[in-house]
Amino acid sequence: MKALPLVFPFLLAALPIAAHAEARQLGPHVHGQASVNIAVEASTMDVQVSLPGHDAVGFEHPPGTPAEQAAVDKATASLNAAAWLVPAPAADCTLALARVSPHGFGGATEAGGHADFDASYHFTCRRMDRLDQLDVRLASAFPSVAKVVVSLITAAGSSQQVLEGGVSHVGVPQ
Amino acid sequence: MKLLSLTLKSLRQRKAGVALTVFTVALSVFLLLGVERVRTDARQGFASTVSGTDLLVGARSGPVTLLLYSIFHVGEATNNITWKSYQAIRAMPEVAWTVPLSLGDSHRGFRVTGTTADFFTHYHYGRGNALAFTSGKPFADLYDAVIGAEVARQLHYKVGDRIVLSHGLGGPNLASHADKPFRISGVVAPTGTPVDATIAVSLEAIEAIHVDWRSGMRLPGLEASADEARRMDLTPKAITAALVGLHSRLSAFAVQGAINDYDEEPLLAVLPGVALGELWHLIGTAENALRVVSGMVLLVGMSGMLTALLGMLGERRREMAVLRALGASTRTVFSLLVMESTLLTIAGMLAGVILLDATTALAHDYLLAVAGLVIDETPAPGEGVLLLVVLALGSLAGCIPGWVAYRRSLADGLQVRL
Repeated sequence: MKALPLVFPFLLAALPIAAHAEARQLGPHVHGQASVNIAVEASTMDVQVSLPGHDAVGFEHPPGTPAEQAAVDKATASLNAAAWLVPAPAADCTLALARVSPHGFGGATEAGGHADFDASYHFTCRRMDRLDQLDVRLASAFPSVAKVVVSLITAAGSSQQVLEGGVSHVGVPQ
Repeated sequence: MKLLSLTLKSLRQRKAGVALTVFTVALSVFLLLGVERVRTDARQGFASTVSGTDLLVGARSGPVTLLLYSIFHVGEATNNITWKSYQAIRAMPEVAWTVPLSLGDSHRGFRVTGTTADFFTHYHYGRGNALAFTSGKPFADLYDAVIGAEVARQLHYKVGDRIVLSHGLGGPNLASHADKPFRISGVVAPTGTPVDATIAVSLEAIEAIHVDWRSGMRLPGLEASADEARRMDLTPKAITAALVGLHSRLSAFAVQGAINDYDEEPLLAVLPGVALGELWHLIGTAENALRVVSGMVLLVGMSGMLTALLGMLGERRREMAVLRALGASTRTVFSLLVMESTLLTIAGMLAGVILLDATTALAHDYLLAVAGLVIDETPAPGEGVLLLVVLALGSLAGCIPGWVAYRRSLADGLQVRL
């Protein structure tokens, strides 16, 4: 509580910004690093991926040539197919929903000048109790990805595994 | 089979030496497995300091900084988060429960945490263990305090005692909150987590003891007595951090993202398990040091056995020579000694495991209360492999006296010495 008085000047300073409702915050963006978030509950597995445009297609600006447009389409299709993620076969998982959204490849450039591919997936697994591992082959699908940070939330709690140097195996704590 | 009975008979002739050798092996196996078990359990206990909490929310800093300060009460203070933002998080539809944490005051070196009674129901540790009370109950009155097991043990406090909190981290020059003493309403059972060294009071109590304070000091002329403070508006203005539980784990990343992108205030939401893992990664060298110690312990134990076997071999020259004279081949003599060391190792391993199990069963509560270590009575996953290594090393160690005997058994024992 001793820091309490310190808070007030910041609050006052924050007020005019709040009035304009202009948010000036930027998330991290690391080239060569993709992040994968996996949450498991009951028979559902939700997966979110964020892939820097640099690693997905090699550029982060609106596609100017047909070749660049083709690259964006190819990356979108590849993410949409979700072949890069292989849950343990014994868990009997099926992909129920996949949604891929490229950011920053449109007309207006995003704040910070970066572009990403975000994708979210919804799996249904019949034998979730047998989901003891996953294969995350993002680095082989997009060779410029050097590091994949996988965050997992299961009944056993949350954990993080970092995949580097050709490793694709992710252990799922039961 | 004949060889086995021969070995056993030979061993029976040297009871004292054999017992000592078995004891040496047993001790090294006990230490080896003990260190392994402590290592695994320390890691396990650490990784589950906070369980059952989906998100830990604080001011924007870093996951490890936030975790260290709000849960372990060490490291640099992060900014506070405003009560308004806390209420906004609380109101999110995905959020099932929230527990606020407010730090800043202390009592004789122990940190005081302002929270709500929900802390005692929602804070879980280990494999989903809830907090239990050795005596008393959670705080009910404004000036009630709940103390951890370590606080009770070191300061000899019990339910009903009155304590005075210090402002800030205490020390002789800092003012105390002597005008508003607290009564201990409960003592939390040992957990092996930072809760053991914490004094928990209600958020309103934190507010009440600071009600006549401005800019870090008491205002003369504005003093409010303990009873007057009860009638004032004690809604907190800020908290340090909050534990957040969700209705469904599936929404964890979405809620985390929403809190991290919260426009009005820079906030940080972390997954406790991920932050704990990161922190363990930083201090994990200690784990490797323990591994090295285990290895050395094993080497010392094996050298002890080898010394005893070689020493005994000197006394058994005659025995070996007689065996050879009766027609035993040099190979038989060799196998005899390898079998002997293997048998001694197996006996030592059994004794060591029994000793370890007995010790953990007996010392479990004591270690938890005194060292905050939770030692599991079930074997650590690596123990089987370690035992196999011990067995292999034990048999291998037998090869050395075996080889010596192989070389010299006949000539050595039958030579006439003057």
